[in-house]
Amino acid sequence: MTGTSTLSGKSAIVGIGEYGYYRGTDKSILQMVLKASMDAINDAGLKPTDIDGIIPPPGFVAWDEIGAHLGIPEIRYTACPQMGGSSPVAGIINATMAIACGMATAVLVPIGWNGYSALRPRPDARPNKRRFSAAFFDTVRNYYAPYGLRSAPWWYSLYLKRYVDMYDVPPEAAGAIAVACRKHAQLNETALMRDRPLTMEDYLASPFITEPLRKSDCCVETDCAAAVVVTTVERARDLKHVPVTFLGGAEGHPNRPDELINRPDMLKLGLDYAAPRAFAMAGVTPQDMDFLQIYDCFTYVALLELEALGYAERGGAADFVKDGNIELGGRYPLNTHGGLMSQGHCWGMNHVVEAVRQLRHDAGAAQVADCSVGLVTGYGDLGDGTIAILGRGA
Amino acid sequence: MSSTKPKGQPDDLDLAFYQATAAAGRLCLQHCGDCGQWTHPARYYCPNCSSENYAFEPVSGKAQVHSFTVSHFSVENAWKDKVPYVTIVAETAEGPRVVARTDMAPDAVAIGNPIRLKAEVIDPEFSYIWAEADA
Repeated sequence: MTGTSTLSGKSAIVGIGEYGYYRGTDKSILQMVLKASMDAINDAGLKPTDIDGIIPPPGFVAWDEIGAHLGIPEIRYTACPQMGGSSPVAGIINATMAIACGMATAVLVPIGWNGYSALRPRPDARPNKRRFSAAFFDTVRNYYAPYGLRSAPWWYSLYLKRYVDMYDVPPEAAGAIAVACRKHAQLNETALMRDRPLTMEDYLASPFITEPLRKSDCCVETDCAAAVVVTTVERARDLKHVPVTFLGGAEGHPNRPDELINRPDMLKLGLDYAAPRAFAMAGVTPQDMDFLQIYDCFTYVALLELEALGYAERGGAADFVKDGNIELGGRYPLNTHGGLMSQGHCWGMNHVVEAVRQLRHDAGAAQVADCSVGLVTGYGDLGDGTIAILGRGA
Repeated sequence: MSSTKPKGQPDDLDLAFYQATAAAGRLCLQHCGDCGQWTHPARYYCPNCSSENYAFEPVSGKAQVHSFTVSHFSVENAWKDKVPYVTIVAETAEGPRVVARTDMAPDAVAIGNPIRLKAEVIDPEFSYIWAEADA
């Protein structure tokens, strides 16, 4: 199954690695990123000398130190998409472009952070040496933070409250996302929220942080890293695992991308622009998907993403997520690893890793039977959006 | 309306916006000298006509609630004693939307409600925008 674009079917994900998901670690961000990277290279059956491209995270660590520590002798290609939680999927797309053009043959795409420890540092902890360069931080500092809107839940509540009030979105719709993620996390040994089940009743009793967001609408901060290796489909056929082929992908950005409230339509995400292009590139429809790995920093954002993907009209995702439709055993299992909500926040690279496990048919108790195609989304930095559609085999 | 909340650290056009608002003692927004479009946050090129010609000018203060949030929790010492507090996305009559504080009770705020915006000058480089109900 490949679409019509010159990029469709031109690359495959052949290696995955994960480190986490913890609340408190002695490892530096660089150490965690290197560990996940080396695991991904080994998982592919490759060596560091086989890697010739690096797409680093949008902050914290850089391509040159990653390459040097891993002992990659010749780096031919590097680029760094700066879009927060949509960066990992953007990295897959970027790696595919580099590979399709012959600029690189095997690209490492790692990410990681101490998302828990950085916010709650121990008294003797040293500060992170680097942060981010995205301009939206200026917007936040100058126009939102002075108003008690300090971090992501408060920023996003500014448009999510409009979403809820204008379309009468019931809390049970957001709750269905939280409950599905938590249910799936019970099957994942690495999930932070394993052994901490969540019912709809628990969800509805969760206190508001800032309306419409309850505590149980927010993902869990963790220390973690994850990485994948992308190479040509030809080479992928000779490696250890069933190749997971890139069928289509796209990025999209709100108008304007560096602030939240002056967009003509505050509810139109980057994914609204990107999704139709990705489905067209892959030559598939939303109804062809066997699973959905949706970037779930907040439950209501995931609902808007489902609408952007075409599974419901604006404001209508409540019907799509009810009655177990997005749980394992349902038609569209969502975040089969637990997601950011319940596995941990690894910028959505954990969603990519899970999609690969599913398509290898190596997802254990969370396996979606006989799945052959699924999608992964990214969301970040006030609404940037990415999507990759992946398929089993090459 | 006094406040000791954290201020921004504006520079470039963001600083010009705050300086103009403080100098006028009322909310000023960027106004295109060619097509008349109002823009916020300010941009070096008018998003409507690409002109580089602009001035920061006072707006009417008339606005309506485009969105809002009610914060029931804060990790900031400066805001902990204010919960629950309402923060409004105000759509000005001139077009641009701004974030505004308010003393209105949560159940008195709804999308579409008319409001009036005022500036509370903190210093020459920072002001709060406040919203109050408009009869």
